[in-house]
Amino acid sequence: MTETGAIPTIPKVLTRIEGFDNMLRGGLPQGRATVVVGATGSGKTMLGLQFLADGVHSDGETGIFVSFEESRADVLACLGALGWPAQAPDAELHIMDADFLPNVVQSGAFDLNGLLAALSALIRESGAKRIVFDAVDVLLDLLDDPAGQRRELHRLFHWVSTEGITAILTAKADGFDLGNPMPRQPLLVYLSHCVVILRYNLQDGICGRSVRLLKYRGTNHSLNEYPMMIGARGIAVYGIRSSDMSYPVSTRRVSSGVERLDTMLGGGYYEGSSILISGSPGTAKTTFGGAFIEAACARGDNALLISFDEAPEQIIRNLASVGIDLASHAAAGRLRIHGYRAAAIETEAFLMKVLAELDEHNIRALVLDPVSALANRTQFRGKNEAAARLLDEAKARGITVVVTSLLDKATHEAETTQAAVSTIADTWMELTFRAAGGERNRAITIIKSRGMSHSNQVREVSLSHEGVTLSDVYFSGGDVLMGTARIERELAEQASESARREEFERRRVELELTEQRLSMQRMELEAEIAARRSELKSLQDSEDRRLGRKQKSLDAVLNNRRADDGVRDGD
Amino acid sequence: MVTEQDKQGTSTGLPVALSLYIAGGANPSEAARENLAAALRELMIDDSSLEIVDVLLRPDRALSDHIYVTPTLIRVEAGARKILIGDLRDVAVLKRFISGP
Repeated sequence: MTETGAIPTIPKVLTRIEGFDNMLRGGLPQGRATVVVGATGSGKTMLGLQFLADGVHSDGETGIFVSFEESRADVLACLGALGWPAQAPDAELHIMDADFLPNVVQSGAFDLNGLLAALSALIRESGAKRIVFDAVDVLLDLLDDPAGQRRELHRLFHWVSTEGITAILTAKADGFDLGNPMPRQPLLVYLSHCVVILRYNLQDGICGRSVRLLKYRGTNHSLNEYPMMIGARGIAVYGIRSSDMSYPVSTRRVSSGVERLDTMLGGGYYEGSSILISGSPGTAKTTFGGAFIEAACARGDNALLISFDEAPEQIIRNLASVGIDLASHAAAGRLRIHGYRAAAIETEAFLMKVLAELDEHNIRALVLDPVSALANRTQFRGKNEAAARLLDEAKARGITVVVTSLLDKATHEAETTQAAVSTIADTWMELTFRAAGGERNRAITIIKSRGMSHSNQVREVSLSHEGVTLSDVYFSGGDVLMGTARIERELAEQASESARREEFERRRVELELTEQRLSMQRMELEAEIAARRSELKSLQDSEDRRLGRKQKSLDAVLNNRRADDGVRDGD
Repeated sequence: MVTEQDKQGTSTGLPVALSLYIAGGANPSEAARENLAAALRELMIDDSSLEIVDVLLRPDRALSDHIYVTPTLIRVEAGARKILIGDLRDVAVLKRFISGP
């Protein structure tokens, strides 16, 4: 039964059941029998019908559903739940129901020749590629002796491979061993190519479904058990993360809804990233979530706000008081708001509902307030599995998610172990209170933000009817100033600034005046200098004239005397 | 019992419509044919109007009549459909099925 050596690749048929094909590494074995075992109500019939319905929808393949337990009407009702049209033609999906079983009497041995002959004829007639034998255990139970059971099972499996039709055989688990369901006919498991186990998980009074592959010949299949849900879209398997993560990565930024926060983050959140906002009660976590949602709707994106333990109407009212208008976006249908009582949600069903909504309404922005409500609310592996899974699914869809988380101030431990969510979150911001000078003020810090250069500054958060604003904080003597202290500091700074301005003005005017005065003085002096110069000149002139006149009169005297000639020539 | 009087005469026609669905000559099918013929003889019922359908030859009948296993004996009376499956080895069960209410 074990496979060794090189694994041959066998052809497979996609089920298109969400997550299931990943588990199966590509689908069910083509032209072979797969056995689905599970307790009553574990989703066996649904799985079979989904496989057939998808064959019709996606591949145009006709299917046959052989029901040994449920009436045709019940099968149609189940199909209707999957969105199958009530008046669907039998040409696409043949339903054979075994409504004869309740009033059947048995006497002695029988075989399945009749059924298989009829089915062969039907396959030739309709070209069916897929078949489901639902509740084959009911039929086998009629074969009292084990030898007969074995013979007919061999006949059935042989028929499947001869016809080359892809088959699902469902079988109820023996008794009510929810932990490890096995069919009453172990041979079913040995003969089939692939065995799927559907199981209930009951833990702390909360029941969840799960799915596991017991075997898959020729396929290196996943051995893990995965959570499974049945919702409006049928079955979905979740939590299958390949160890290599790959998400669509965007460099587009979307606004956080708070202008200065966008600046701190270097342009806003990355589209498709997840943002964790933690803080103690009353630190305005919801407000930041609301601001983000409002900005998304204003951009024209569809948004979803999920609130735990707070009614949507109350959130709308409360956020309106800080200038965040969600009502008009909700009225326009862009925004969907749901309130859940955290204690009452069934995690699996809740997750499924949310995911369905994300897809159905093309949601681009999601807020979970607070994500702590999902902690300890899952039946699968680890406390934060549900929250982590939701973030994972949102990320795979490229949706930007803001989750808030409560922080217990006393222990400084988050209500949900923040370590879990914070590892998934790309951006983690913390809102805190600072009490000083007789008041409490909110502050925001960016703890981490992957892939972007972000501010390391603490900013004060102020809420008013105009919205959220962030302000600088001041350091004074090693202490952070916020609130009134900050305002006082700002006023003081403003006052000293204006004093400095005034002083400057005064000095400037004074200096200008001095300069003007000196210029005037300079002009006066220059005028005086000019006057003195002309005075000096006229003095010189008159002296020159006087000396000239004196020489002339001297010459005249000498001429008259003629006595002193010799003296003068001798000089 | 309405049929008490019928049983005392010679062979009568079938009081009800009986159809036996078989798959060729497979063991249980062959046994069922023999067991049914014997029971009808004992009940002094003429089997000429008994319908025997070989589903290997007439798979369409298996489909339309909802035959899942072979052999299957179907009795229709006043619209009520009763089904007996198996090789009909238990004579008492078979007789009750044919002539019972």
